[in-house]
Amino acid sequence: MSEVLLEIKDLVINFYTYRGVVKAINGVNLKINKGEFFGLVGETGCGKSVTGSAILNLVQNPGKIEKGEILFKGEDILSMNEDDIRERIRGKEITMIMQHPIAALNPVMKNGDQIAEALNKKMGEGEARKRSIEMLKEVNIPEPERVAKQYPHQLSGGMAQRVMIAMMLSTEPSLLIADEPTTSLDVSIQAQVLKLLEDLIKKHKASVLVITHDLSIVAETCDRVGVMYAGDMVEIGKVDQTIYNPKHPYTVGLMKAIPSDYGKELVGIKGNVPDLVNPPSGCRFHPRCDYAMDICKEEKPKTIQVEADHTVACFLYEGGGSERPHTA
Amino acid sequence: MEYLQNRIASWKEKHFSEISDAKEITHAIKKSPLTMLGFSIIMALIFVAILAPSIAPYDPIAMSLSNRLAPPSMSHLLGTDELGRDILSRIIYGTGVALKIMIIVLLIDLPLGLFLGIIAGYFGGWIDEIIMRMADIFMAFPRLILAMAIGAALGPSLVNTMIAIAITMWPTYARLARGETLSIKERAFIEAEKALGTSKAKILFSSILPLCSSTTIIRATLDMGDVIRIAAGMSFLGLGAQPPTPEWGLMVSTGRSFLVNQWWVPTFPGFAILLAVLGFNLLGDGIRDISDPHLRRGE
Repeated sequence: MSEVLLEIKDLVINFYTYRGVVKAINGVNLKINKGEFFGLVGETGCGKSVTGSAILNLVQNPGKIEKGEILFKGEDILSMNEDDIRERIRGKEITMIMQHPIAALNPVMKNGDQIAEALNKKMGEGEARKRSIEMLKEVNIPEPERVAKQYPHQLSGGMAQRVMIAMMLSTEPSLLIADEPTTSLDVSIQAQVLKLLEDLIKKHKASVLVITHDLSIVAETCDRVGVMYAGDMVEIGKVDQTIYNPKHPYTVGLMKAIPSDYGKELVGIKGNVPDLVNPPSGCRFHPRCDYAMDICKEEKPKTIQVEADHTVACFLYEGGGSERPHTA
Repeated sequence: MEYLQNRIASWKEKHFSEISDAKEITHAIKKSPLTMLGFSIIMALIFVAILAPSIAPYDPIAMSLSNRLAPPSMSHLLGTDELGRDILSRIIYGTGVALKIMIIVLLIDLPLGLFLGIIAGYFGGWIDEIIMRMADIFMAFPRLILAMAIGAALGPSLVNTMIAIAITMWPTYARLARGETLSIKERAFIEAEKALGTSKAKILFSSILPLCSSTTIIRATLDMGDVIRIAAGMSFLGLGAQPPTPEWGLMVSTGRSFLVNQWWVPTFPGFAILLAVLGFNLLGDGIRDISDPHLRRGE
């Protein structure tokens, strides 16, 4: 077994809105090992991004972390004080890549200066400047000296994301959170950026948490994957087990909803994402589940180990799991 | 020579984006005749203010009682006032006084308003409440009335006029800066900076402040004419500059009793106020239009 870098234990996050309390994260458990690509997938609004920001303790108002532990190298981030997190964790041990790279770069700062600023905590100004050019070279930016002097609006989306990656990797973090890193890029650039990310992660020996709704990215790049539904972690496992042999009815539904062969009919998951102010009782997926049983409405399913390193939260697998839903 | 040319070439290359920005702005100014007019008026005023001692034909406070209330003539182009002082010279020296008031007021106001505004916007909560309710109180009164009240309380003098006007004007900038901050602080790059562990003070002053300042500075250019007008108004009412300072408002005030028979005494200083306010307003409007791409016409 490889070493555990980050462990989220029983995380509960609520958002206090005027409509009521949104139970956004409902007891999520998750482990990320050293040097691994971990994918977190789910629909919009299922709590993936909130989980990501919780790791840096940056859940925005009106969100509140109610319960749980986030152990990073054995230390609980949630019980550290704000200054400590800022000085030791954010930007040093854990960094984050945002969804829209151009929006995530400061429009009034030159690209090189932004990278240098991220490094300022670790080294002097002159050295930071030199290192920032090196980083730009490392992310395959042509003419790094020129790009360093440009402003973010002069970059294309793919370039901006590479600058972002350079910035976030420059401090040699041990965990990189990539929140939808390729959503705003076109497909050919997506592949480039992902390949680059993979290479750099191997080189810098970091772990990555990729937050995405695109299963193809997960299948392509990740080692392990967690599937979230409405604030619950429904299935976690190695990518080849989870994606190609899914167990949870929701994951099965997701796989069926991907266009694969020409002419084959697409099957969607019936119904809609539940309103998290009044989430369904028991298993949150039961109103949309083809295999729902009576017990699903009453109790929250426990996590069951179905294979080595593959767990699923579903009553179907209680006691061996005979009635498992068939794959697409 | 060649060395110098090389230096210039490398400087041009280095500052390429700044130079092209400046070119674009001058191009836009040239395209709008009114902005051009405002710009020329302001340049002329600044020129006159700086060169006042060498271009004014007489000493602005030298009296000549034998020559009082002389009509415009070749020796006194705009005539003389009730104490025989040359009106043209007084108007020329008055330019410097008016510009000085305006610049000092804005130098106090802009930083104050910006600072309070970004703090209110960024921290929110009770800090925001206190600052913005204070701003509301100041904005509840008409500017001139409030400035007069404060000026009267502090006692009539030029310095107190500046303080009074500055106190009435910061809320505009604070509100603008607060509004901008509210939207900027939700943008992704601020979140990215937080995720990098940047401190609050650094986010506030190196990311939010520069982004707020452009709108606020543009607003200030629109207010420049106002400041001159209010300062002249206060001097007219006896709350601002005191005699024998060559101040336009004061000159109109003392000259108004001669309006019927010696019209030149109050009229020319009045024109000076008109010209300065008009110039600043035209320039301010022009700058606003240039800085707002939606309002840029015909490009």
